[in-house]
Amino acid sequence: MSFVNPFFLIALAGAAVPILIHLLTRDRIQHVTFSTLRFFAKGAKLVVRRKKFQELILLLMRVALVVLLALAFARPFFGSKTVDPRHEYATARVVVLDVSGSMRRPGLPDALKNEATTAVNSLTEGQDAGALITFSNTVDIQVPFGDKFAALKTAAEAVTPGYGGTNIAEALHKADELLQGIRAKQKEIVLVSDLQRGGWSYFKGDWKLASDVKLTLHAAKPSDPGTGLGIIEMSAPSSLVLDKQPSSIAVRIANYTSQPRDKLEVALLLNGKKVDDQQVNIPANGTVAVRFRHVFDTPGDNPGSIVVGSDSAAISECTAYFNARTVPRIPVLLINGRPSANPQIDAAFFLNKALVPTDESPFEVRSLPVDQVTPENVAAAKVVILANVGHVLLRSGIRCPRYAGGAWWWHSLSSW
Amino acid sequence: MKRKGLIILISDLLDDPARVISALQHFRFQGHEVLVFQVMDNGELEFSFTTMTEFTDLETGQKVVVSPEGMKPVYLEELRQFLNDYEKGCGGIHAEYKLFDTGKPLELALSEYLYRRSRMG
Repeated sequence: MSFVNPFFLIALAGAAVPILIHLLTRDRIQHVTFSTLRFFAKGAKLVVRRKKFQELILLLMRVALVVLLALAFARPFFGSKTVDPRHEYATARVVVLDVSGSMRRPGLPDALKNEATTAVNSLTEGQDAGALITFSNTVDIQVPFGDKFAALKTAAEAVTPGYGGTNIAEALHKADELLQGIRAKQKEIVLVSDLQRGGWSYFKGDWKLASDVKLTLHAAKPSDPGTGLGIIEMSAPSSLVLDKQPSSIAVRIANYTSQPRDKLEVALLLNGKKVDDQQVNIPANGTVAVRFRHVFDTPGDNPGSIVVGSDSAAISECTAYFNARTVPRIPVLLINGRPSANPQIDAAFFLNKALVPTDESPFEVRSLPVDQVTPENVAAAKVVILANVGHVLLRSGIRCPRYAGGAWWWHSLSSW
Repeated sequence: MKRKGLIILISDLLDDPARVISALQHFRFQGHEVLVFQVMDNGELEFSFTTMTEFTDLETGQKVVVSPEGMKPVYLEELRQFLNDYEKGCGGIHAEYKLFDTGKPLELALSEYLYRRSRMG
């Protein structure tokens, strides 16, 4: 077993923290002279033993949690033999494969597989070292560096594009990092991609490849040239409360061609049906932002998409998908036992602000003084909060909602 | 005792309830009125301990280590059963029973009780 990010193993030292906490906070035994032991002598040993066992289990779970977190960040892998850091290889090659949605276009999956297999097969076992990375929005090390290539060949033959976006810069960055950990006369990255321009849009900063790393590009060309357009950014709500306020769904569309595109149709689809559209003009090699406003008034999932161009719905880079999940607001009745004109001493005021900090809160709070509460108010609420309320409610004959956990007890309720 | 009298027993009654009630029954057979005042410490009644504690039995010297959070429900249930045995036992022989918490002044509680009893005739 080896690790992709072995420096995270330093965090294993953190396993000492729960042990220290356990030792520092364990119960000190106090001594008490008591009138009789007749009421607990029978079960005492059992309870102590059970408590010690529970504490031990708790300690082990805490230690295991820290260890697992450290291991997860270190990313262990099992597979081909890893490289010998002292050995200098003739060639160290990282094969970087684009598995974004745009690589699903006709002809590209086969080209991807062929280029990957060729890049792997040209390595010589014993002399060279190889690794394989795939990327879309995220980067995955499929096979870490090794000098036995069975796993590498299997991974190259099994590679298939997915549905994600393209983040070429991050993939190259990761490949460059891998190459820094190995000694070789020649270090190289073989990149197989359709080289979408949108693939560079994530790149921010001034990072560049190390000077001793050679980059070889294998540009995969689809049998269908595509539209030269692509959605490079999208913003859509993922979770909403059900109300009549419109929400924004926005995309940024890039035109990769040297020709401006005028009156381009951009459509908003919800549940497979077009609900809105706009026409936009995009300059050559430029981008444009398009925003739709829509009222999501159907509770539950609202799967939708934005499609650029009337004839490009099937092309993945021209379609962006989202799901806006709407939930109805929860009616909350806040019964205020001590209302005050001064909000600083009014507990209900702070509760109300905590529950409804913005209009997007899932709660709809109605605050009433005790003497104005009616059984109808209570029945209409899903949650009843009693803030500084005493025995008055019982005398009023008001019953809480039947739902379990439907009432919260605020302090000063000893008279219930 | 030839004349009928008033027997007042003030004790923590940490003994077998059946034996104590049986002893008190003799007084009742002789026609005496019996009042039983059981006094217990607040710590004994509420078991308000929070950390691991080694308890030493005051009378036998026996020691036991207890985790209060786990033991409290067991203790309180045993205690409830114990007090219930006395209350029911006293009721069965028509003796009056009253539990006193030593956290409250006994003389005040006692005088208040006796005053209330005298008012009831």
